[in-house]
Amino acid sequence: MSPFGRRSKNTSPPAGAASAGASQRYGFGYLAPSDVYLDSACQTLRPQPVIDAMNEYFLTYNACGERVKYAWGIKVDDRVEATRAHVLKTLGLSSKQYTTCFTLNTTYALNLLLTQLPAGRYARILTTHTEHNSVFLPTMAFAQRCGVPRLVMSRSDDGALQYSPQDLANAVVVISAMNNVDGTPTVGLAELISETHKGGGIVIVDAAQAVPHALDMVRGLSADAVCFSAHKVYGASLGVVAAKNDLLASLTPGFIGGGMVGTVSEESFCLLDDLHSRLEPGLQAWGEIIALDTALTWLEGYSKGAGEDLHTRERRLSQSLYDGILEAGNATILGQRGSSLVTIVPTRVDGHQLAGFLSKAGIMVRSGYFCAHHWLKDVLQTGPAVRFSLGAHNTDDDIARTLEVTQRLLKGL
Amino acid sequence: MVCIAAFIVLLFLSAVSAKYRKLLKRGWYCVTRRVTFRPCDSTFREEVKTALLAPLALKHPKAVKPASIAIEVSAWTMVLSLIISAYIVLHGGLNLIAFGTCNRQNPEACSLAAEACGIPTETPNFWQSLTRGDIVGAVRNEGSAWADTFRAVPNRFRNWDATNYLPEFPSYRGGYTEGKPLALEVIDPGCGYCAQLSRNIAEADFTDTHNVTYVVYPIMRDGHLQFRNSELFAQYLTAIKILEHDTDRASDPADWFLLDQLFDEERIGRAGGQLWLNELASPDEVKDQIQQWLTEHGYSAEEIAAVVDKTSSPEVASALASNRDIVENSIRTVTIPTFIGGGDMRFGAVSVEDLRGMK
Repeated sequence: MSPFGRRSKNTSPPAGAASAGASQRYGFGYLAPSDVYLDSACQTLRPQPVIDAMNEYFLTYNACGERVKYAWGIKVDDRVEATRAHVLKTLGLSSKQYTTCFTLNTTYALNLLLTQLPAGRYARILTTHTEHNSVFLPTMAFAQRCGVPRLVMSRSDDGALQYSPQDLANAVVVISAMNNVDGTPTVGLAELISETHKGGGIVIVDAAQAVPHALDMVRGLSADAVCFSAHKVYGASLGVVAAKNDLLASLTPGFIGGGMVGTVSEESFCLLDDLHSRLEPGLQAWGEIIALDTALTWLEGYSKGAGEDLHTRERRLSQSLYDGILEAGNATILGQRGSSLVTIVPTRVDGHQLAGFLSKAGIMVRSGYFCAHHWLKDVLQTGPAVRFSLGAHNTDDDIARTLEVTQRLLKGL
Repeated sequence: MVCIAAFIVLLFLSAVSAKYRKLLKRGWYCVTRRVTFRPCDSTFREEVKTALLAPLALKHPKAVKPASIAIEVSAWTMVLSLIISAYIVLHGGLNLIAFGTCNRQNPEACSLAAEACGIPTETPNFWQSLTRGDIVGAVRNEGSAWADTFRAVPNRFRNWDATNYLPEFPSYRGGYTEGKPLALEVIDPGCGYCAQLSRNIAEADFTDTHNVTYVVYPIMRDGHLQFRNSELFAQYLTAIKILEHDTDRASDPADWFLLDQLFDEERIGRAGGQLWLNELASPDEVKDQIQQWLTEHGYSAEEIAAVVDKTSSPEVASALASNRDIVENSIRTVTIPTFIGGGDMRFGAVSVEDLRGMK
């Protein structure tokens, strides 16, 4: 069971986050009731404790981490190390086998890994049709740079992957655990990882959507690297990589500088033993890293604070939204009922225009192709879609208001 | 079209407020793509339409589709209007440079033109031809008008020498003086601006430094004289010029005396000479008045009879036809008066200051 949905004895709501009912915004007291934000798949709102943690860092111990000996710096180091450990704990990974690294975002994380994989080590690279551009495009670049074939796997309707064991021999598999268009999970991810490892390959998982909405899917996976974004799990803007130590140690440094080396001579250098530094050239976003620890803690206390498990709440609200839109008609709904993402392709109005009209009513949704152009435009051949993505701040009132306006528009336009 | 229309609107808004300039930049990107027949930035187009339609969509969703069509139609209308306006402004601007009036069809209708009488073009314009159902003629006439304009523009900037446009039997105000540069006016006796030019020439003492002569050109409009007695007055002027040519009278020409009397606002009652000539006098009264002025100038009865006799002669008719040819085909002006002097051609009543500055 996900720690986000568990009532834990050790996790209580952080200061500033009072308990709230289903119609109240637990942790988001600053948010006006009329602001209906439904773009959490892009970036979640930050609960008050996370904002407070950022402020606390900036106001009381705003020092560099991992290179200074004074009190503020030591405090930063302690908090950063706590965050690294908290990430591994959240993902259910062993700190002996895995290391947490921080980057700018998930796209950056995936690129850092793929561009530094040792040359000639892998025979092919695999991905799927439904990937976000942050996965789809770096795999193209990898194939071109390394001169290896790139295979794009299809999925069945339930999200199961279609491949043969031969495809996985010495392969780099880069795949999302949950797609960002309709929230369909990748079925059989554990089997894929196991079979890839048997063939001598590695698997890099894009968990940007899965960590906030389907953590159970990725917890304990033995992937070689799991990447996600803190800003999609109620943290500040930050990319996170939990990678196997073997993988990090095998990387050929291609992006290198301060904070990564122990000794440097005129013509050579010696990398630090701290493997997280392999993906962390230069000064890091210390405040954001520290705030991620707070965000994870806040999520763990969500059930107690909000009076409802987060995933249960998201599922309930999204089902209500799904049913209401289905009733209104004049739109094709992508994905399954119950996903945290309700994505539609309106049939009588352009998706961007519908999003614009909703915005006028104070309802913030995403429109377009959600960085999945190949899948939506080439494969599904749809026009611009509209995505309603739910988050921890959303309430029944938000959904009621959204349905009131959306139904009127879908029926009337 | 919406993005082009939006760009035009933003262009005006940006002139008064900086907050629209970022949007203007996006609009410009869209316009450059549209005018080069590439796909427009649909995001910008949709954003503009969405912003316009959003308030309506929330209140009356069913009205969005017709409103959307109305926006497209308005945008097309706006852009087409702009194109037509730009076309008219361009053609008018070139005509203003070339002919001194933006409207060749009806030169006096152009408010930017010099203060002058206009020689209207007999050829129907594009819209007139079109309303008559003559599509081919409309296109042909429009093309011909543009060709005339393009031919005339370089003329405007070349060096103008009045000696190239001298009429037959020229007469000079105060007689011809060797060594003085020549200036030439194209005049219609009935045109008030010609009287103004005459007064400006006198005030500027222009004849002290120039030999001034004229081409008389009665303006025609729709096959009739614009000023009903101009032709008659022109016949007398021409007859006198023929008779006085190479005689002692050429040093104090009677035709200039007649023009001075006509242009003198106080000369004929309260009405003024030209108003009398154009509106009040019958041809016989004009003849009587001219003969009376000739007497004042020292003409004998026999000399007056000779002038009267000459007015109906083929020589006078030929000289007037020659004048018409000079004005329409050599000078190619549509503005009366036109003044050629100091190496330049100017339209309307040239100011005293300009005349004084002319060498």
